[in-house]
Amino acid sequence: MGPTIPALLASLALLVPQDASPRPDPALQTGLRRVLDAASEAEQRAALDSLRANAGPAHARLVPQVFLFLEGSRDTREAMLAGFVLAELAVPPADAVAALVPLLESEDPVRRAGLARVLTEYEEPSLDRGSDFSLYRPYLEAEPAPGLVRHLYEADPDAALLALIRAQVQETAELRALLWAWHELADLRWKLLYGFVERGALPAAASAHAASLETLARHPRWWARCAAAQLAREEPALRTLVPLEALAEDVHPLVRALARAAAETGR
Amino acid sequence: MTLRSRALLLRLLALLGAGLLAGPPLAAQVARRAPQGLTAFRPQHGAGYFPFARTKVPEAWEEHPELGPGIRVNGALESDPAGEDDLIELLVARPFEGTDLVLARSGPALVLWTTRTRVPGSAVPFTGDVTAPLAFGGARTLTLWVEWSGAVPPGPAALELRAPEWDAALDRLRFHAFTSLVVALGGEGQVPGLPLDPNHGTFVVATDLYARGYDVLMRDEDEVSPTGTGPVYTEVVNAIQNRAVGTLAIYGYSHGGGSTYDLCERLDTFRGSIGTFAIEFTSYADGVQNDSDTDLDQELRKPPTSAYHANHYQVGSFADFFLDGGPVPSSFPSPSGLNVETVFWGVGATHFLVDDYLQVFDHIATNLEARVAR
Repeated sequence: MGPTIPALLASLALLVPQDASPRPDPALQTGLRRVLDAASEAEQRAALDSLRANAGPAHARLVPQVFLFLEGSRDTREAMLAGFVLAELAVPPADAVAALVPLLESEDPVRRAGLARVLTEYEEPSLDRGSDFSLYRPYLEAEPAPGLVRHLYEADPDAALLALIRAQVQETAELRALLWAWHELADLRWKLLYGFVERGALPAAASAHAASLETLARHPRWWARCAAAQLAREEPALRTLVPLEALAEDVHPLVRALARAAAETGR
Repeated sequence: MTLRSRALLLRLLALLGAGLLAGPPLAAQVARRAPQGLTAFRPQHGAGYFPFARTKVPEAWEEHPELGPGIRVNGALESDPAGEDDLIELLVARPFEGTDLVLARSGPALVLWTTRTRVPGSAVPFTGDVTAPLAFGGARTLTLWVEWSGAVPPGPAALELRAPEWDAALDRLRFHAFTSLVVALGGEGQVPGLPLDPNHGTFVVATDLYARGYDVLMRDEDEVSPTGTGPVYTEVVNAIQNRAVGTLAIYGYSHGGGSTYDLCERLDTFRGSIGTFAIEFTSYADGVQNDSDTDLDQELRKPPTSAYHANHYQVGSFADFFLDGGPVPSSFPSPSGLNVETVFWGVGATHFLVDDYLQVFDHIATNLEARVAR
């Protein structure tokens, strides 16, 4: 069986120079405003047709422009245009994800937060099931981009670690060790969420999970170390179970950033 | 326009006219002399009052059990995500020169401070629930901060300004400890701010409720994630666990309606770890699910465990990108809410107007107030 269409699109996206700071395209921005200002349904249809014609292969030209329009919106009407355009042009989720994932490398936290609020459309977050990150699989099979990994951990850390394990690890012993660590962390988060472990009782109540935290914190894969730092960031009381000082000097910049943020939290 | 709508509009116009919603800078307001001695203000948010204006409790309501000054129970274990902001600003005016003035309290639940963040050493001492003569230091007014310290409120508490020399009570405030919290969530692109935007209907109602003695969280709906997490959830849980809050009212417009559902769903899911509370009132104005900023799906689900759900919607057209809410089972007006386009005042409504009708304000405010004690 050959590669899936999303995998092909992701491969294509990875070949294209990654631009985390797209500039407004005057023609497409004008086209979006024509949809907004249309005086009749026919005029609106025509404006949408024009956007469709200029959307680029796999909507790669249009989607970032829609995001920029949303980012600069000044009221509810302008803000809701983005969803309308994506729906009317039937932009496939894989196209939207392919166009938006590179933007996650932005240094601007406000932009990243805005991207996260769009990408949730394709992540199907659920209180019971967690997020579904399967659309990102093609981007995680190669060396995962730090911006995407940061986004996944911020959106749903349990789903993030599992998605990374599945995409990156095939060797059985390593796979089993990481899966067990994932299970232990997910179990701890579940107990905290439902009140079976009181935050006031941390870190003693989490000591049974200390070995798994250690496994992750000292793992050779940087994205696994991120999982330990992220948990310490969420639960400041667990900082004593995570070698934060070492992680704060990690060779990978995202591990360093998460560990330093964890060290700051709750101070 | 109903009588209630007219009253609501007139109240808001009066507040705007008095400069209380978008009025003069803080310093100018502080300088205004309190006519009767004591003036209390509505609750703080963070380091000030934003996104509300500094709003004084009208003289006529100072002793009203519901409309009077409200105060948060300042729980010992509070996380205070926005910093210490649970103390109520109190302005004491000295109506006469050359006479000592003291404050008397009804009981130890009320604690006075000279600093808004309870800086150690700034507590005002009481002897037998009466202070020493207040030190105005030559000024005509003195600013103090009132804290409700203690557990579940047993009832209102009073603070009285007295002139012992004349054995006279000059003014009196009756504080109610908040046992409820109102959460108001705007639509996409609506950010609470000052001056109040009259086209942000959710926030217009929230500002009215705040002025009428409720504790109100007026927030951007982006502060509620699709799974209900975020700063709003954190604040609500903190209020339930540490501030004796047991009743919630949550409402929103467009994506704020979707976020209303998401917040209620999370609160209900984790009820076992949060504590005891009831969601007595919820409302959607043209509710749209909020799984993302680009979600266009109608929000047709009633918020879990809502005791009373109000619902107003219209039917979308090209002019509003076909955005609309829709009928929600077991909501009011019965049986599934009101399509505002079927009544004379809503003919021609669009998604961008539903939240701004006085009749919608009226329905939300009237039914919330009837069901949610402060």
